[in-house]
Amino acid sequence: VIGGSLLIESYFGIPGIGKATYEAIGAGDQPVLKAVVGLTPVLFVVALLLADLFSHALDPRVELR
Amino acid sequence: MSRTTLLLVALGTAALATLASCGGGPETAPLRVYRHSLDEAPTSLDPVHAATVYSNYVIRAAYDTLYAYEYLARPYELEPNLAAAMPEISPDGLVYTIPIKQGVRFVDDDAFPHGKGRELTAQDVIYSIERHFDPANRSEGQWLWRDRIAGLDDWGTSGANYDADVAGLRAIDSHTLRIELTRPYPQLPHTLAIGFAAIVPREAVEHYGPEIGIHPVGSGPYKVESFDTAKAVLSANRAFRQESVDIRAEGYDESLHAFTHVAAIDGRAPPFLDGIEIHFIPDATSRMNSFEKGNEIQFTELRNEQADAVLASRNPPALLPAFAQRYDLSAGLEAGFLYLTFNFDFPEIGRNADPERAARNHALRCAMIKGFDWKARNDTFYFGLGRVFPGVIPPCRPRVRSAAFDDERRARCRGGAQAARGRRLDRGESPRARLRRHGHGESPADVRAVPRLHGAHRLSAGEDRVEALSHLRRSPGRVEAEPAPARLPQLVARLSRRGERAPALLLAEPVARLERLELLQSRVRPALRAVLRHAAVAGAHGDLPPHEPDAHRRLRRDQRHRAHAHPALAQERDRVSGSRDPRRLLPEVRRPRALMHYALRKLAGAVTLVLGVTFVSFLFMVWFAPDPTYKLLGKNPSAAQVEQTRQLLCLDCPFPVRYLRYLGELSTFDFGNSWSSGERVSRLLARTMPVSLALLAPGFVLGNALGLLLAMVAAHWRGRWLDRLIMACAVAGMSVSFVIALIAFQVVFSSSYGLDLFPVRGWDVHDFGDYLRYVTVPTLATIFVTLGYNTRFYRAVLVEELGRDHVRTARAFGASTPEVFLRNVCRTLPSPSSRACSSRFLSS
Repeated sequence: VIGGSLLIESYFGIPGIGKATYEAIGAGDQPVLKAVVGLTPVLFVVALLLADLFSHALDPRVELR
Repeated sequence: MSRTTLLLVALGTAALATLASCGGGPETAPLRVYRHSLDEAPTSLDPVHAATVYSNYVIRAAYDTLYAYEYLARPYELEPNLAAAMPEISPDGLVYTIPIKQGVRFVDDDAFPHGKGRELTAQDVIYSIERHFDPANRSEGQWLWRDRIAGLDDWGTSGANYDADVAGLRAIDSHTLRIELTRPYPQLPHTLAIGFAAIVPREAVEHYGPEIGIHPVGSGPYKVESFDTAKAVLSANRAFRQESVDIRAEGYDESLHAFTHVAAIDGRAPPFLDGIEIHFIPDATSRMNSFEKGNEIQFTELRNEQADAVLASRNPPALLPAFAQRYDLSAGLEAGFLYLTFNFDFPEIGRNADPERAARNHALRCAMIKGFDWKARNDTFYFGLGRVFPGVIPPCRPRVRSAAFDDERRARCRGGAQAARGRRLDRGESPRARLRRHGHGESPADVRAVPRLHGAHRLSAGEDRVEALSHLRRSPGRVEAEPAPARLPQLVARLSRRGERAPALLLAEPVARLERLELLQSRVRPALRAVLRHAAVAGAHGDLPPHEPDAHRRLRRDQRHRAHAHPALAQERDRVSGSRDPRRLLPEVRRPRALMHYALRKLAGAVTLVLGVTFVSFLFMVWFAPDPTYKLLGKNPSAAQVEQTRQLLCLDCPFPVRYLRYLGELSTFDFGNSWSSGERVSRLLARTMPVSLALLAPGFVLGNALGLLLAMVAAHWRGRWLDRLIMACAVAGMSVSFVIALIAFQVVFSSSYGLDLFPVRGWDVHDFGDYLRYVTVPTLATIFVTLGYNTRFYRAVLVEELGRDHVRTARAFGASTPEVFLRNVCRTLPSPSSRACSSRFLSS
């Protein structure tokens, strides 16, 4: 969401998180950077967890351990 | 040399021209909205941060200043704006008395009682100037009045109490301001004409806090409806004081300005338009595409590299006929100049203790100055419109910036010079050493510390889980010694109680049996298919025999030769599928509690991961990041201001304190306010995340679906020309840079040169139709760029799956290709692909 949307959002002028992050890096806006940098791994873990539960729901023989 | 800009104005002037003929009131006429463009966005609309042309552009429309520059007169001439007259100045030049217009009101805003804007008074002007000296505001414009206004600096250092009086800033009555200076400062009225001096009501600052940077509340001709770094939307302030414009008094010159039709505003009172949109478009190509579209932005600056495509001649600037029909061109000198300087601290080129060398350095510098071809530079970079002039005459030489700051700096320079003098000029000295000798490069954030940390943490949840999966696949068979089918239910129950994974291992048994039978009869196929279906799926994650290279070929050969029914088959069919529905063999394993345990366990493990990642990212992004103080404080901070800001933002705190604070913020999800715009970070995330998700989701879903489809085709005809073609296209697609794809798709689908189907840029989404219009081109570009990767990924997965025994078994039983894909292969896909997708979606 953050990496790829950066280019699209900057080029198409879309006010999304990628553009905000890019500008925060340029401006040394640490609160925004800290939020993005901190929330990315959290989201990552949650997304992986959801992916696991999803594949388990589809196919119960995929073990959760 | 002065820099020049060329401006193209399309419908903007036309809109102004039509004003005179617009007889109807604003409620009957369609909204007159002018869409401007700037090549950069302001960071904040708080006047204390009005350090750039861009922020001034918006701030001057939303706020009032005491003085202003005549609209058209060049060179610039000051005129009263909110002030009723030019200031009355005491003979010693120290006391300025400024009358302020009566009856001026701030725009209606929630910050005021009952949402009704109150009248602007002299006290508001005082408050607005005082704000620059409040350390909490990190003003970028403090230098304008530093050491100038009596008592103001002390007011700031002694607590910035807005209720306390400042000797140099007094309201004689509600509409008369008296400014007392510490020494003559003739530029003072000019300082009151720029964005830094815009007048802010105290209620609004107290109501919005730092978010005043995105919620301007002023008394200007326009009200800011919304602002972010993509666009500012302004609407007319209908309550703006009615003062008609005298175009002659504003410096109108028929010969210069007639083509702009600006005379149409003569005798009318601003605001002239119902609304203004200011689009911030850094990319010149995108801006030009949007401009030429006709119904998007109406104004653009012309970049030098675009000149040949647009201009018939550069000096005097004239448009090509095709453009001249549609656009007006305006060329003017920019209020800025460009020069090159020598660093005299470097003895190689600057001062040198050796008189002979010093003379040679002087000659060298003169030769370099003479050798530089300013005309060529002007022609190359500034359309040849700049004016080359022989030297720089600074408008005013700053006296002393700050005693402490300057003393320290001077001492450092002197030390450096002495060191240089005492040392033989060493040509082999490294730049770093030289910098260090001059007192630079000793900051704790020295980048040399970085490589040691590199590669220390390469953890991710994905790898961990993939490892677990491959382990699962590798583990040797757990099939217990051939359980008789009659005993299956008991075994299932027993294994379930023991918490062992029953289904795969139990169903592996019928697979083995069926594989033996498979060669015999095609007529019994339908009857066995039910068994096969489950058996085949079971094999996907079950324990499979090692791959035999010849097995596949042998199987096919046998398949070709199969002819006769085997009497044993019928018996077997009845025994396996007739008597017992194999579906029932699947035990219930989706236990909610187990899921919950799993999720909790995973999350607990994730805490370590998050800590690791945040530690490393904190180290690189925050701790080793360049000191943001100077960026935050603009170009002329005082040493005291730098110190105060560092303290205020805890930039000088030790590492553990800052890291723990960061963890605290992370755990509460409260990161405070953005340092640039002042917007609450949580609000910023809530505003931007949904947009990004809405923008990327379609491209992601379609890109994966299409990739899967192509991969199926490729995998099915593996090694054939279709597969080769698809793979070649995939590699070719992967090789195209994302930026190139974006530009190409924009030109092809959106620009007036291409199909002209979609908006060139922007995100003005109010309903689903808007959404589709804005999301299509980015989505197509995303699909194009990710398709190659997706296809290759899914093809690899599919090829692996297609080679598995259960798939070959299914094939051997004559299952059709779509059936194999849908039933046997696709059911195994979610596992590898969903985790790949989830991680890729986050990182895309």
